[in-house]
Amino acid sequence: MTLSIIISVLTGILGGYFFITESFTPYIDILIDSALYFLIFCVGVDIGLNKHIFKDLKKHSLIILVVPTSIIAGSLVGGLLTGYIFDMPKNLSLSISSGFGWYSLSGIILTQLDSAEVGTIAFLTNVFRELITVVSIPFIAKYLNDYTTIAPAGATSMDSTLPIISKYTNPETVVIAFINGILLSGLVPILVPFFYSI
Amino acid sequence: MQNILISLILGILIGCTFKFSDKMKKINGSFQYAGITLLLFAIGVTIGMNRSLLSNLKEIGGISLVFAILTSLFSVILVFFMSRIIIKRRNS
Repeated sequence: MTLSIIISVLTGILGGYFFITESFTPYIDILIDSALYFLIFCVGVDIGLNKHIFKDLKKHSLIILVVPTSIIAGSLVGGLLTGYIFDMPKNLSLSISSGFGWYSLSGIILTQLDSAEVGTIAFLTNVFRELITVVSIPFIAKYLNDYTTIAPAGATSMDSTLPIISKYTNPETVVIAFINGILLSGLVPILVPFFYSI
Repeated sequence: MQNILISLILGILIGCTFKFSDKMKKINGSFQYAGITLLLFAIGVTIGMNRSLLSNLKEIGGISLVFAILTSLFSVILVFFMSRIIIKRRNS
């Protein structure tokens, strides 16, 4: 599975670079959207088949709070450290790390607030974060625990990386991942400008 | 966001209402597998098509990669230790 993930992304990148022209962009967007909705639908069926997880969630309410707060704290620490390494201002490194994997949004916000360069860094950071997520989830599920698969995914745990989390964990983790994704996605447009302004 | 929520709720409702045989559950699993492969290919295409992104890659790619690695790494470390504490408390 991991190998097929890497092969899919790589053939996509090579195909996009060498063969597919810009006139195909609308079709690619339609393909991404429909594949995503179809996948989320299948994930929903999985959740529905395991109705009992909703009852279990009440027992696990603590984990629903702990996962997103740990992801936020961890991302900010990692961002500060990167800023320190490259001698960047703290407000920039904190706002770049508050994208939590949502590349389109944090890239756009920081391009508007600062410059195309910082916007591109935010964009690339989150593209790389999503790639790291895709590749690392199978290993995290195997060697750490199911909840930790949500950590690298950040805000993307409600859409693009949810199917992969679902594939390697269980329906309970999928529900927590989805709630985590909603919370973090809601915080991106608040935290990125907030940290930039400090 | 809205469409994602609708797809999810629709799936949950169908999963709740109908009884699935093991064979159908398996088919649902392979649909997911095919969908993931297709989605990742399409995401790869959008990266490959973005020339300005690729030409900037050398200059600022290094910084971005370190950002991505360290934010992911510290998130993983924190979530792992915090969830381990909770799992232990739950089991005891």
